[in-house]
Amino acid sequence: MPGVLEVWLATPLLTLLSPDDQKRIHTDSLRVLEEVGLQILEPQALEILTGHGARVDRARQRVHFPPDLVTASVARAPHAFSLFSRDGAREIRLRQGEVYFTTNGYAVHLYDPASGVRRGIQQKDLAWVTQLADSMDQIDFYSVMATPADAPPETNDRYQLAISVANTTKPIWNTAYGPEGVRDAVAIGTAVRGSRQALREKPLFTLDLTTLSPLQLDERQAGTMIEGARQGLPIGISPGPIAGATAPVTLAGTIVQANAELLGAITLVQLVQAGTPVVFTQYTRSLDMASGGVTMGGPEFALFRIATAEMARFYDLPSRGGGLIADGKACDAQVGAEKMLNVLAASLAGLTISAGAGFVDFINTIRPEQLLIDNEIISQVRRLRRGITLDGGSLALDVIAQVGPGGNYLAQDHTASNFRSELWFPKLWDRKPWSVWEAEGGKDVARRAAERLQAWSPKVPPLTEDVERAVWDVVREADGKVARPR
Amino acid sequence: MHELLKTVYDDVINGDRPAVEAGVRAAMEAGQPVGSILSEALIGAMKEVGERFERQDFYVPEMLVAARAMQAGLTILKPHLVQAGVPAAGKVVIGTVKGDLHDIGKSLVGMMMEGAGFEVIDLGTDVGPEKFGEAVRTHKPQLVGLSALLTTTMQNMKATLEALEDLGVRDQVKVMVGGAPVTDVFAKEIGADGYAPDASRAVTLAKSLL
Ligand code: B12
Repeated sequence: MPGVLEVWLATPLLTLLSPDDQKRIHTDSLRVLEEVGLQILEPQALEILTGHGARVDRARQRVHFPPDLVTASVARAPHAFSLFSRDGAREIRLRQGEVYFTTNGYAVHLYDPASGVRRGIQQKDLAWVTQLADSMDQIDFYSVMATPADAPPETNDRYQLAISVANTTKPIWNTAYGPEGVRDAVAIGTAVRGSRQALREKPLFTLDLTTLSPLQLDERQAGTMIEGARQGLPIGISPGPIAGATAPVTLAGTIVQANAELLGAITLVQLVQAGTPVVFTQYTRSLDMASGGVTMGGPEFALFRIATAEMARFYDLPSRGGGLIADGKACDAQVGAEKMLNVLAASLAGLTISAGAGFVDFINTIRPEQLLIDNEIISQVRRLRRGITLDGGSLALDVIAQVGPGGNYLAQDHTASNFRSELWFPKLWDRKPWSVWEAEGGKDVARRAAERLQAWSPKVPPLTEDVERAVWDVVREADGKVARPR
Repeated sequence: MHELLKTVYDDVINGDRPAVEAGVRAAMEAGQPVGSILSEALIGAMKEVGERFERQDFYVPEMLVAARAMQAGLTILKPHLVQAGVPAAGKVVIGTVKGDLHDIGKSLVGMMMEGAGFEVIDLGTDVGPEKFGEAVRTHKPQLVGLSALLTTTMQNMKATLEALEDLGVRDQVKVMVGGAPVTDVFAKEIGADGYAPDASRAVTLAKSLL
């Protein structure tokens, strides 16, 4: 039987959709899958789905999913699974009731705080930010932060994973480019773990894949999903429809469409291999009607995170979505407010994984100082989620009686033995008297974070030479197979 | 502005497509010169729409319904424009480069350019260099617009420019590039003629390149 604390933690602190609402979203998604269907541009997927009774319109590559097939398939996805750190010692259990935080994936630019210039990202930069993310105590696992521009496009996924395993000990959230990419990722994981069996027992990474909204699975993503399921890898499938552009402008319509896309993809994966671990991921967002760009920092984004968390709970699957995302560019009040709004909504609603740490500018730019600030934000959220402990000791009637009217609690044993667990301690937030703060230069949090960053140096132990060689052999071999004209 | 043109102008701004179609016909029957219907009523209205958009009085959906209404009017006008020898604003071939399936930004640029009176040939996504080359040969545009959203597909912009060279059509067109990873510096490096960070600036750029 779960303890009181466990039950309490599993209860979301924030709810939005009633059980009836959730049911309705579920049945409406099933209707979309059956009546409209998904366009799947991968021949194998069409075979698999036809084989299980889906009606396939081959000319349009359109799959109409029977509702029972979807419900039965989704029920096969496990309610919990684990990822393990590089040394296999630390386990991250992904399931309802747990809450974790991670970076975001695949930035296009890196802001260099030293020069104040935003530029492209090279392999050495990816190694550096990976090390930085590894050193953040609140980041539970690492989502591959960038697509290095100096690595070949076709095999970039292999470089991303190779650089990640070399520079972080945390479990990794990465992607793969097609079935070959999946096999190479498995080879890299096998090199790190020592054997294929060891990798199976202790998964090191997941596959992060997207649908192509509205209502499509492209050839590469579907092919990657199928191979990932065959290899028994955990898969995060992430529809990212944009309300008003690639989904209806109404939030409910976007939620239904995202849910339909996700259930369709989960069905495919479970039909390939029943029991494949999946993470119920959604990057539902909206279009900024003033610019035509995507917005991921507003209150709608936070509402979408709550909906993702709630629908995942409806299916009893671990969930993921953007939590620490912001539209702003600077380490300023806007970015802080956007991130706090999103991550609070997400975490209080019970989203298992909130991603986005270290990113500004939607999900385009890494801002290293922001990673330190996000680390602090996460730490606050964690304390908040821990709530208020009510027991004999914490209700403190004895001490209240002992100190009595007009007394002081500071020197009490009760204080000394409880303050560390009860109170939150900032690492970066300022709590100094004004005069001291001013005398120290009157620095805002961005300045203080930048200074910390200057004093920081990478410390992740390298892979052993043998492992390192084996990992890069996989990468080189993949490069060798790519025929490059010109 | 003539009363009939003013009606068309207002209907474009309101995005009332049937009214624009009827209005253009009425103006032509009343003997208004096709050149004026185009420049004063249609393009003029879209200029106003663009200004409202800049001021955030108008948002994207309103701009797009206006552009659609304007296009409907233009379709009726087109055969007569050719007869009257009024030059078209310009033709652009646009697409997202090979390996890349992101199409929202590219489509938005296309729609805004249509709104500005350009004829837009949208090749879609995952468009190989040869296909761009072929399209330039068949459609003879003045402009080519390339979109890329991925670090891994940006290089295909360069490959596309090379393909245009190889086919001997590079000097017949101006090439503009855009998308999240693309910068002004990158555009210069690969030898594109221009870069724009968003759709409305893409239109300004296109006009400046002609
Ligand atoms: C929406 C989106 C998707 C959707 C695309 C849906 C669709 N139908 O287009 C989906 C979910 C399918 C998707 C898939 C993927 N995506 Co994506 N996606 C985005 C996202 C969030 C927004 C892009 C967008 O539509 N913006 C809105 C439009 C209006 O803006 P825009 O495209 O920038 O266009 C404007 C300007 O750039 C300019 N412009 C654009 N084109 C042109 C052309 C010309 C000529 C000119 C002048 C101007 C111009 O004007 C436009 C209008 O103002 C971006 C991140 C971001 N916030 O930008 C990531 C992003 C581009 N995607 C990314 C990734 C990694 C992927 C995937 C590989 C995911 C994966 N793990 O498998 C796949 C790849 C699929 C493929 N092969 O292409 C990364 C790129 C990383 C990198 N360094 O390369 C980004 C940056 C997000 C991230 N950090 O993860 N994605």
